[in-house]
Amino acid sequence: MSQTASMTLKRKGAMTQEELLELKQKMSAKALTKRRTKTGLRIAANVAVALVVLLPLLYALSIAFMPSSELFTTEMNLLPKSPTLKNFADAFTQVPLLRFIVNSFIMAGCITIGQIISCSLSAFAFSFLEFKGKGILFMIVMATMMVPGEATIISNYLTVGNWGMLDTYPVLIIPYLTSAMGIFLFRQFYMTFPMSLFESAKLDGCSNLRFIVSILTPLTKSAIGAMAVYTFINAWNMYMWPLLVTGSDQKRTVQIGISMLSAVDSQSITLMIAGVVMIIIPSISIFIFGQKQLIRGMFSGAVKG
Amino acid sequence: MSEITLKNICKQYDDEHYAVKDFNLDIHDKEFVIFVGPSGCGKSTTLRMIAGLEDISDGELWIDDELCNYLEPRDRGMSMVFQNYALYPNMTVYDNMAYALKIRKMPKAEIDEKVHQAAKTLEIEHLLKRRPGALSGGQKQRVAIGSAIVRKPKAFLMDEPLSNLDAKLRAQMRIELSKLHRELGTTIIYVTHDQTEAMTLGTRIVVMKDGIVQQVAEPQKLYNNPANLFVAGFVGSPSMNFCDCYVEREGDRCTLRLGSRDSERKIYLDGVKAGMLNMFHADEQVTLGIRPEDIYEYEEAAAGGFEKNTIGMVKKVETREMLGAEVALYFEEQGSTFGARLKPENNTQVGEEVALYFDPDKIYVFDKITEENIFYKEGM
Repeated sequence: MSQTASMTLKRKGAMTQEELLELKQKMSAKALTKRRTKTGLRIAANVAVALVVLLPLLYALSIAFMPSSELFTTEMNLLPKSPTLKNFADAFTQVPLLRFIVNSFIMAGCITIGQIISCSLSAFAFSFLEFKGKGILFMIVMATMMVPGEATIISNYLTVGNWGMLDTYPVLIIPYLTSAMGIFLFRQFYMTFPMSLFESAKLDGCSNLRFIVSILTPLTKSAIGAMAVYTFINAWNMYMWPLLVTGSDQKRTVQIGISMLSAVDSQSITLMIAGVVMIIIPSISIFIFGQKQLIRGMFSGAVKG
Repeated sequence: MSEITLKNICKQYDDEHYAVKDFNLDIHDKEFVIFVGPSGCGKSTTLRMIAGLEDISDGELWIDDELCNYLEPRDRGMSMVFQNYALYPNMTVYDNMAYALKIRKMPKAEIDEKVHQAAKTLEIEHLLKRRPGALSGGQKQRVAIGSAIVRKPKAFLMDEPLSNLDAKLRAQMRIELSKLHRELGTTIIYVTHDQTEAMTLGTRIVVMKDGIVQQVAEPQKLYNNPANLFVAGFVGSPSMNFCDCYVEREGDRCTLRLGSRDSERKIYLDGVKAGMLNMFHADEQVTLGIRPEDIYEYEEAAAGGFEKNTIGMVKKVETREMLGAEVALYFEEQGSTFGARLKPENNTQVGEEVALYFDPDKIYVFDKITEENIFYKEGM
C-alpha cells in the first residue's frame, strides 16, 4: 500500500506543479472551444430551419402591417415601408370580428370542457370497470376514428336541420362533445395507474365519481392539459361544420368571419391577413403555454416511468 | 369480534377452470391466518373475494353471521394492504390515512386523534406532512398499514405486503407485524408465497395449490405433520428431499430400500410406522422424504443411536455452502439434488465423498400415486 503511494508520488514528481497546471489549462481550453463550436453550429442550423418554417408566418405578419398599395406592386416588398395599423382597425369594422372571436371562444371552450368530462368518464369505465362487452365496445369507439368527419357531415346536417337547431350555439357544440381520440388518450393514461389504487379507494368507501374527482383528476393533470390544448386548437380551427350550420353574423365563428373579409372586398388581402394574424394569436399562445403539458400527455404511457 | 367463515367458496373464470375450488375455512377472532402457496394457487383470489374485489362464483362468505357474498366492499368492514402499498400520490401521508374516515364523514377532531394515534403506534408521526413520493419503501409500507389501522376494521387483509421490501427490512417488518397483531388484537388474513413469512407470522397456515386447500394447520404441526408431498416440500427451507424407495417386509420390521428393489442402501423402521407400511404398502414403491436437518454424519448418528438402523449413503458432494452456523452439502440422488445441513466442523470439500445417515424417526413416506403422507395423523 505505502509502496504504491510513494510510486505515484514519484511519477507525479516528474512534472512540476506549474507544468501540470499549464497542461490542464491547455486541455480544458481545447475541450471548451470544441464544445462551443459544436453548440454554435447547432444553433445556426436550428435558426436556419426555423426561418424557413416561420417564413410564411413572418411574411403574413409583415403583410398585415402593409397598406394594400404596397402589396400589389411588382417590387419585392418583404417588409412594410410605411407600417400601418389600419388593416387591423378595418378588419374590426368591415365584419363583426369581435363577435366572431367571442363565438369561437364560447364554442371552443364548451367543446374543450365537454370533451374532457365525457372522455375522462368513459376512459375511466374502459380502464377501471369490468363489464360485458368492454373490449368490443372499446373497439367500436376506436373504429369511429377511422371515419372521416366529412363523411357524416351531410347526414348530421340533415338531422340537426330537422330538429330546428341550425344557427345556434348548441349545434356548434353538441356534435363535438366527445371524441374517440380523447377517450383513447385518457385510457392510455389511466392504464398506467395501478389497479390497486382504485381497489384501495373502493375499500375505503370511495364511490366511482369521488375516485375520479379526488384522486384520478389531480393525478392526470398533464393528460387533461394536453387534451385541453389539443381540443381547443382543433375546435378553434374548425371550418366546415360551422360554415354549414351557421348563417347569421350572430353565431358565426371567427374562421368563417375571416373568409368573409376576403369576400366583402376581394382586393383587400392585407385586411384578411390582418384578421388571420389576430385570430391565430389565441391558438399560438395556448400552444406556447401548453406545449409542455401537451408533449408530456401525448407521450405518457408510451414509455414506462 | 369478527368471525369469518368461508363455505365451499369457488372462483371460476370459465366453465372448466377453477381458480379456487371448495375453499372451507373458519377464521376466528384475533387469528393471524396465512394463505400460502406458489404463484397462481388462488391465494390472492381468495383474499380478494373476502374483500369484495372479486365476485364469488359459488359458496358462501359469512362475516359475523351475516352472508356477505353480495355486500359492497365498503360495507364489509375490511381494510386491505396491497403489495404496491396503493397510497394516493396526490395526498399527504396524513390525508392518506384520514381518507377513509373522511369519506365516512367522521368529525374532524376524531379523525385527527385517530390518525395521530395510529401514526404513533407505527412511529411515522414525523412523516405525516410528506407525500408518498418522498418516502422509502419501508415507510410507505407503514403508512399503508396506518391507513388500514385507523379504520378499526373487522379484519386486515394483507396481500404480500412485504414482497417489495429488501431482505433486511422484510425481516424487521415481519417482527413488527407480529407485534402489531398482538397490540391491536385484530384478525389478520395474510397472503404470501414465502414460507418463511408464513411460518414466522401465522397462528394458522392455509397451504394452497392449484386453487385447492392442501392443509390447514398451525406452523409447527404443518412442519411436523404435512398432509402430503406438496406441503412437505413447500414448508421448510431448504426444502425436504425426496427419493423413491421400496418397502420390504421383514417380520415386524420394515426395510426401505433406496432407489431399486435390490439396493444395499437400506433404512430399517420399527413400531407403528413399520406396521403401517407392512400392512398397506408391502413390496410397493413409495416416496421417501427427509429434511436436510435430519441427515447426520456417523458420529451424530451413533450418538443418537440410529446408526445401525440406516445404511450410510456414501455420496460425492457437488456443492458446498458454508453458512457459518452450519454447512450445507448438496449431492445427487436419483436425478434430483439432495441437501444436508451438517455441523460447521464438517470439512468435506466439493468432489469428496461423505457418508450420511437418515434419522429414521424423522422420515416421511408418501404414497406414490396419491402423494399423501402415509404417517399423517388426523387432527394432530
